[in-house]
Amino acid sequence: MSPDSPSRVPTADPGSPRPTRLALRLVAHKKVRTGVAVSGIAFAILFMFLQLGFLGALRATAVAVSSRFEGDLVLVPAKFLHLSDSGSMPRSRLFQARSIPEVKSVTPIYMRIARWKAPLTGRGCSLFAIGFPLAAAVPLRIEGLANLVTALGSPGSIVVDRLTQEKCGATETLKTVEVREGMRDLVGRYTLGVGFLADGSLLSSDETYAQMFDGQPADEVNMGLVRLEAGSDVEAIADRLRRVLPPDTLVLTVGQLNDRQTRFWVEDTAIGTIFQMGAVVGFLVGTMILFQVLSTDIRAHLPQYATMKVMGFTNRRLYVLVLQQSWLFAALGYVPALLLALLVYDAAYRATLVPIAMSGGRALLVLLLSLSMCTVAGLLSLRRLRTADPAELF
Amino acid sequence: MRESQEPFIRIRDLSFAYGQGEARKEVLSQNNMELYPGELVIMSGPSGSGKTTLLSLIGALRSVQEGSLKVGGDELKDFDTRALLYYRRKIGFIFQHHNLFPALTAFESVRMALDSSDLPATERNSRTREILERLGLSHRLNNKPDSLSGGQRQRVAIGRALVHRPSLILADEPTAALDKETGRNVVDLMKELVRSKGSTALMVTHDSRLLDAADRIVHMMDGRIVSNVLVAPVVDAATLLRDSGLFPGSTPSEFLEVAQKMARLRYQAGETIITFGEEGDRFYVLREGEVEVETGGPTAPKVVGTIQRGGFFGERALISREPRAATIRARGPVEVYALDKDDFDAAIARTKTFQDQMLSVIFSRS
Repeated sequence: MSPDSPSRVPTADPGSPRPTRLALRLVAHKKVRTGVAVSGIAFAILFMFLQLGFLGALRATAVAVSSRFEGDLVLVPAKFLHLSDSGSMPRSRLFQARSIPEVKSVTPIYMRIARWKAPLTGRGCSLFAIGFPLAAAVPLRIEGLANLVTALGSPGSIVVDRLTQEKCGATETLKTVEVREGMRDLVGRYTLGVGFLADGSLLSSDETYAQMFDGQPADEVNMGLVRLEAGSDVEAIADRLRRVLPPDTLVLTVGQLNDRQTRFWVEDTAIGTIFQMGAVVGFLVGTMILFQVLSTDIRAHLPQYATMKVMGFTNRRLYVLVLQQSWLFAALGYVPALLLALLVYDAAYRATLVPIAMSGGRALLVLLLSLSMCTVAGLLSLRRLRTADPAELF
Repeated sequence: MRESQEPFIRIRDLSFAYGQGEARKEVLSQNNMELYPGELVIMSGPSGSGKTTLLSLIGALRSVQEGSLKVGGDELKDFDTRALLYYRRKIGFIFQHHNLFPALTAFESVRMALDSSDLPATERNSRTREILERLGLSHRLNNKPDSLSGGQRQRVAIGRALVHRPSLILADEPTAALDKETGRNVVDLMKELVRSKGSTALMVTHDSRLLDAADRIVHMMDGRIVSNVLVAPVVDAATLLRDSGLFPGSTPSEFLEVAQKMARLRYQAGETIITFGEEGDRFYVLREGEVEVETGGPTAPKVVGTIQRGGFFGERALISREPRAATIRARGPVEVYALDKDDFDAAIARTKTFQDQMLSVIFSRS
């Protein structure tokens, strides 16, 4: 044989080692170490699931009520912050709005947090109270609400949300309850769920609402729900209303209202920031755990990696090998984290009635975050791999 | 004493230093060497003599600093990354430590070396199985390192280095962890690869039991190659010197030392090797063929005898400083071992005993 001259390098790659199998073997070899690592990563992923779950619940809370409005536009005070702290505006703005021909109706809405006293325990609860005129079309898209309107016509009558927290004692058999230091007749139930907004919600006629909140000025409302004639250009009419109404009134589409609500809850409140930070912390914790695991493992196997370099494995192949290990850790951590998250979501919902549930989107998002987290850890640990020096092997 | 052939590795004035400035320490200094296809070279020398650094330079694990290191005629320091990668894949590295992944079985560890080949999977598997069987590990194919002995692990590492039938084998104490029989088996395997595939093997070892396997022995000292000996011709020349009965008191190392300095020369039938009346410049030992001895000079030439393998001539003029007293002519194709005058003088001066014996020989002929 005449030894091949290295100058006669083949045009095609002389062959590419396939590290997938090796990555599997390396991850599976030390079961205790892998178990500990997977537990840590699973915990970090679960933490992300929980934080993002709560963040999702916060988003759901933000639009729990506003997304149910049966209307095209809403009129809210200029200082409107969110539904339970909307401020008030002159009732006359509603009449002014009706000067636009395409405006079919404007329904006044009253909203505040009401103090509810649990019947058996006497414990106080905060319920989000919504009042509206019964003569108008039902303003909220809630199943069965239309059937409750007649019952609400009796002064002092209220209907309560089935998704009111258990501590408030709003059982199916409860007939009367103290709300804002006055006894109210509980004449029906509906299903809404307001999440973080309050312990529950109740609906009443505008008259009963005025009874409950006797300080409520008759000429002020919290919101006006505008319905337009069929086929109207919602945006164009919103613009016209903005020109008609003075600056103390905001004209929003229901979508814009939802956006403002979401922005407030997710971005402006501390709770939204905390959940977001929690997800970031979960990401960082997972990254550091896996970085430590991979880094330690690489350090322990530096001679082996150096030997692979000597055998002709390219740096790129070794990098892929490490990244494949990190992705395997991500996959191994993700599955138990997902299962645990489903259990914790269920337990959290049962305990708080906060609308927390797994969605395909969130499952996919956390999977991508987990892969990203492990990729970052893998990339960080590559620095260690670069120290594998074949020259040190002799 | 070498057949004309292009070397696989050619080293010229190769130097290497670690560190810079005041911390600079030269570990290789102005080394020259060739490694030919089909030869197994054993490199020896004390710790710190530069053997390992030289191995790592030849293996392209370190970059050439000064001098030239050519592979297949191409300068190694001109190789780009891709060419270096390809070159390394042609090398079988055997280290003192096995460096096996604890997660992989013996079979997987060895087969990994074939991952970069384009062989079909069945061929990879059969080659892997074959070499592990050769290394006496057929019953340990599925064992991981933690269930193998130290020698078995080293054998797996050797299998990993040789399974792709490399063009160049660089081995650092490959048999240190092996028993005598297994060590011999490993060297035989390397030798077989060297012979059948024309590979080149450079092996650092202190195991004197393996020296007989070497085609050449290189000795290093203080960063320099101080001897570079083709084993077979030197042993042959030394044996001829010993068998001649001329130096009964000499030690094997004295014979070898003289033999190392001898050149192997060829002559055709009728060709004159030394000429009557000329100044003596070499001492000869006949390796092959037959020569005739002619005295009397050009005026009265007379063939007085012949010399066969093992016979020697040309020493008298070197010792006495007188002109050649005879003409020596090849009767057929002839090969001789020849020692230059300076080396001959140095050899004689080395020991009084040796010198006395030579003078005794001359005296007995006169």
